Amino acid sequence: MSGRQPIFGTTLRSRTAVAVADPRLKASLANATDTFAARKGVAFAQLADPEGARTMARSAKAAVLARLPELLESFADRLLARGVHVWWAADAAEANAHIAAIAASTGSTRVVKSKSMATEETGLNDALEAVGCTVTETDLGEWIIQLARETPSHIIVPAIHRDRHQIADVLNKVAGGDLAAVPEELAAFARARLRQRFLEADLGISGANFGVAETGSIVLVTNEGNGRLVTSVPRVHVAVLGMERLVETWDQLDLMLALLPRAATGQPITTYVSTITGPRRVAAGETEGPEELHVVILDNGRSAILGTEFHEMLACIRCGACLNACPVYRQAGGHAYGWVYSGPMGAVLTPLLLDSPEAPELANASSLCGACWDACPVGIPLQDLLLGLRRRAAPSASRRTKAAWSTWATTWSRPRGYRMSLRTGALAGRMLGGAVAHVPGAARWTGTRTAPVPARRSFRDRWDAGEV
Amino acid sequence: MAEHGDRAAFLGRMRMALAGGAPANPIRPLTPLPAGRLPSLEYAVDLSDMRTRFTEAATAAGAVVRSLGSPEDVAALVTELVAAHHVRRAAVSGDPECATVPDVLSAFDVDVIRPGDVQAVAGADLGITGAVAGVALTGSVVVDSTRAGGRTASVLPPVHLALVSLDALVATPGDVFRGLGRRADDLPSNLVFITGPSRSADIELVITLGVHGPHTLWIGLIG
Repeated sequence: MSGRQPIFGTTLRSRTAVAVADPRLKASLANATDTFAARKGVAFAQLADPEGARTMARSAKAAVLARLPELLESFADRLLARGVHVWWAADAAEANAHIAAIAASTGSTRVVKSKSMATEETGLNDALEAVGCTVTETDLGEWIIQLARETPSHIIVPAIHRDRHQIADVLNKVAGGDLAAVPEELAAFARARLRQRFLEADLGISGANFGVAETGSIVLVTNEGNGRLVTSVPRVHVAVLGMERLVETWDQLDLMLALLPRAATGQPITTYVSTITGPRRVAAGETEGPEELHVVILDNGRSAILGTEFHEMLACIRCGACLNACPVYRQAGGHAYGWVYSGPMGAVLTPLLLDSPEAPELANASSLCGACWDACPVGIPLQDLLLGLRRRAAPSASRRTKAAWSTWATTWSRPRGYRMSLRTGALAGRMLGGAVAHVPGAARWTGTRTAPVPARRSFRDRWDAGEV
Repeated sequence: MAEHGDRAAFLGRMRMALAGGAPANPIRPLTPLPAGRLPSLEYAVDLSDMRTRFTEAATAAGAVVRSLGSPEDVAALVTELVAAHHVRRAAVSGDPECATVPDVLSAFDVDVIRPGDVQAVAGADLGITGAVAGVALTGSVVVDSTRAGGRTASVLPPVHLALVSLDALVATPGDVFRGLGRRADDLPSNLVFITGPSRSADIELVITLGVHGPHTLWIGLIG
């Protein structure tokens, strides 16, 4: 599979070690994740029945996924009826080739983009630059990481791993001057520089938060306004839609949009919610907007998830709430996950989408505490999926590991064996307890832990003696 | 208009994957959906006085709301903004709420830019549009590209004035969204909900206004 090269080649453990050793990253992550989690609580309190909305959203997404082929078909037919070009892309390479073909056929070389995780996935920017296009990311955070040649470390705030000083360093390379590390000044520089790019651009490329099948519409939620400019100023607009990002009706969209910004940033609604149906309607008197609209529908490994035990992952609306809630993400940050998606949703999606022998270990980047499930506005049981991925990877466990677990299972399946093992454990515990024990072969576990001291008599013994 | 790539193969892969039906999670079963359309969302927010709620929500989002009781009030607000923001050029949409605005601007020698010349709109100091709806819950104004005749007057200039009629206030975003399905062939190419000025939190989550769109949003409530 082509597409963006993952940072793999390093191990999850080594990537995590780099992250947790960086105090600036730790402070940035704590600030971001705490702020978002607090704002989310306030925003959800506006709903009369937040849990009911979540339950309904989960069922609504399930209903869409169960009928996805027919709904995509009617979505595509509606698009065609409104004069939209529809491009089916089986994988990253085909999606990139389609968009390069659109650029060639429309004579476009200057490309502006608004944030799109799907095109991060396919590595579109490199593909377009290889055919001679100049590609500018226009979301402030995405522009910063484009200039720094990095991948996003959070799906909502791509440059969250950098503080204002590190961002000023990056922007000063293009400003050629001395921008102060003041957010307002840095943002003003970005506005001026990127405004020029918008007005010169031939082609605008956006993602799509949702497609609405009943009218063939694309919905985009943004705060900066770059999404509106990308989809309105250039004469050609390409929207890239992950095939699962569909709802059937506008009442479903109403529900999803009540949840997405509240879960993502704690906003009741984003600054801009754009609904796009077809290109500029000249006959209806519209004088602005793109002359051509192209919608690329992307599979890229998604159909291989459909119908499997991981099916429900396709309900994800990319809000990032599970990242903010996850005790692992909060310590390790996004780059530890090695690819474009991070946090619990990334730990599930990456091994499913990316055909890499190193991806499955991401499922271990979880304590299975279920905070992600609790945070998910569409109720995806992420910890079940993470557990499923571990199970799937299990046949490759070492013979020794398998033998150990099988001995344990046999022993504890019989009352006699269970009691014997408890007595032995308690005896060993009293000998080692309270000390820092070093057990050969388990040093990573024991090296940072102090063994507890068990009670002299077990609960079971006291129960049998009638003491409790 | 054309279709590219292999629709049949694309959908075929999905149909094959779903041939055995969508799998269920036996530990956490789905709650059945009500029949037909989804019920409207209920909010724990007092929406009985839409004018008050709209004003509060829009203000909380960073907009400045003015009540305009008469056509003279519209002219007075436009005049005030011309002075306050040193307006030399203003982009004015084709919305009916803006019908009297070009004459007011011309009286102050302000160049009026009509929809269609995006480069000129980008040079405007002020953009003025109407709105098909105002949403009380969120303080949003909804701008329709067909009605306005264009898209950019509400996003390219550094200051945006949206004129919305009191009669156009609705309670929730759903009141707008849920009507769109019936308009399949008549939807504008762009229908945008605007809530407060353009903002970014991409640098240390510090809110900065006017990153790509307007740094200031004025809303005139007419009626």
